[in-house]
Amino acid sequence: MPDTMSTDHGSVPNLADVQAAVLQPRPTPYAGTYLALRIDDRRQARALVQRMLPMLDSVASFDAERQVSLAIGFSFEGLRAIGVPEDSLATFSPEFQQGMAARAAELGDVGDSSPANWEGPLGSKDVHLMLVGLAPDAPRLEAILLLARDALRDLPGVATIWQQEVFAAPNEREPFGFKDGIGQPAIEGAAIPCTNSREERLKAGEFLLGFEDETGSIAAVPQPDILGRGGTYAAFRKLHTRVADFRQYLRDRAADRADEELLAAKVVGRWPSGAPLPLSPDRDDPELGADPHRNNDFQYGDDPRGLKCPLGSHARRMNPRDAIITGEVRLHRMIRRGTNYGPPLPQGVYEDDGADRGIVFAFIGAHLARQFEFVQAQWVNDGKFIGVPVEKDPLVGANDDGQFTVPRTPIRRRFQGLPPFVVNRGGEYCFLPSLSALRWIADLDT
Amino acid sequence: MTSTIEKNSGKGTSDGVVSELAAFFGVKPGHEEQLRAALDRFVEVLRTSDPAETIRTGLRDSRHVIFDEGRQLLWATTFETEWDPYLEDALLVVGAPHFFDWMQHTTEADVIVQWLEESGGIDALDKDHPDFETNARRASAGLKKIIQSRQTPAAVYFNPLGAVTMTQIIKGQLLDQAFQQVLDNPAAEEALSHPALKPLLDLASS
Repeated sequence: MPDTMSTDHGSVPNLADVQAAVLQPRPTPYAGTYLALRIDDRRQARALVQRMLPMLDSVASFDAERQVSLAIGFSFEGLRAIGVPEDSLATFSPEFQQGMAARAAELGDVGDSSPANWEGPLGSKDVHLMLVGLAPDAPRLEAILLLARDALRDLPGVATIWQQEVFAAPNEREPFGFKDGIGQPAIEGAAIPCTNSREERLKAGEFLLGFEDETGSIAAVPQPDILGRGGTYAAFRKLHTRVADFRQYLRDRAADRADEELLAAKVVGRWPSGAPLPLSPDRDDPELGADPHRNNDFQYGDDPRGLKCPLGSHARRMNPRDAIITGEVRLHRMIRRGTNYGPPLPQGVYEDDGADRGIVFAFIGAHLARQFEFVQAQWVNDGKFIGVPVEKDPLVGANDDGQFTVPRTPIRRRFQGLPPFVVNRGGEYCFLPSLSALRWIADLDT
Repeated sequence: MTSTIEKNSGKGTSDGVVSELAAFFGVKPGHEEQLRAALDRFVEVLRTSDPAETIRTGLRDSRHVIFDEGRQLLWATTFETEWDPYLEDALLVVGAPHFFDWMQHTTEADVIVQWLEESGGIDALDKDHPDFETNARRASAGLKKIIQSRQTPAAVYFNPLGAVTMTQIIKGQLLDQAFQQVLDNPAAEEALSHPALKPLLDLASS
């Protein structure tokens, strides 16, 4: 393997070399498609990458008017299948090398969420290459997918083995009915608006390999440098949501409709509009929820007991901000891209209609273990960090007869018998290479 | 509380009601795996003992660490009682055979064997022996002497729960469990509204 280690590890990433999907916020609404491909012929797979390179936008070249993007990611087996040398493969993070299915115990993918119950071929060694297309509407999505399919023409050695349509609703609500994707981190060197005036931008190395991170060091970069630098890791999960179960659970324990809405907000940490409980603890505030300058501009420090926003609520767990917890919050931030799939359960319906609906969740970050796996294991599926070891995330945790406490004066409310409201149908760890890395892959001669 | 050397707590250091003991032993060459197995058995005795019995000994925790590439063993333990009764009661709860089980794999084995012989043999210190309690109390001085000869006091010792005993901790747990049961009752708010119960109501919100 040639030694192409760069000696320039500056802190400012070259945004012209980073795939747009890594840092670019998604449009609203949008339509999208996830495609999983299996590589049977590495030379044809390289030809595909070569053909697709002109279609890929960088963060710098992304057209804010068109809002159309295509992204390419590889699983570890995919990098092997396309011919990345073994000594190079050995330089990727151990978690990525193992893949998501092998990490099930650490991730809380147990019971219904265990890999044995995943939707094929997710979690298998056949998922090699992921293509994700996004556009503001179906026609524009179809246009870009046509280009992708055209690139696949005459390449029978690359087979499409899984496809998932996703979308973001105009009101940005996820299947449980809450506005989603609000609290994203702001990153040094990236022109992404900072929506929490109280949070300093995070070092680029938290999200891009090869740059200084919050520890003041540069994490191991997959080698050669041209392959790793400017790339990042992604984790995607097809999360089936049991919306009717969620609604029934709340209705059975609420005094009335208003109490039901309040309890749902306490579970989520936000009101359906997206208004955060720390800023609007007693009632929904649609104007606040819709205002991107205010709906993420808060901390938890003035609510140490969780009287406004429960310590164990979903949103507070996913980003505890300045709350007093064990650990350093800035080391566990992540870019989250959640998108809906399946038909929404109409409002007011409490019986399951049998439809498959949920979220295709995507994590993006440079540290699979420190960011995604830590959050999943410690903040979602454990409660020690907030002093409540028996409680998990009430919305997405691997609950099995779980417990959730809602602090309240004069007496807290405690809810028992929480079932899992979210079930993992499958997923994979991916590597999202830089554009120059994709060119390097396309030019491989192995 | 500042860590101080307690005259009555062996050579250990204490913080509040808790004292520490750290003793270093050599590991007999080639005995590392046998030692690990014996330590598993030793700690299993503690784990399966009646909690009331272990509390009576004052035990807070016990840790055995094999280090220096299998050549040395650290036994670190903390306890609430004084050094003398701790070792006496530990011998009564665990029984000499379980101490001998792991100590025979250390370089102090010869001294241990000599102590057992002077104490009437290992059977006399087994919990099944009819005079076990008398024998154990008589023999405990020898065991203390052996352990103390291998003991090194901590330079410093800090225990955030040093001010409370295990009995207080367990009582606190039981009180909290009962309090949570009360709070789960829909009538709790009314019941706790009596002025006499204000201290409880102040704790009821989270």
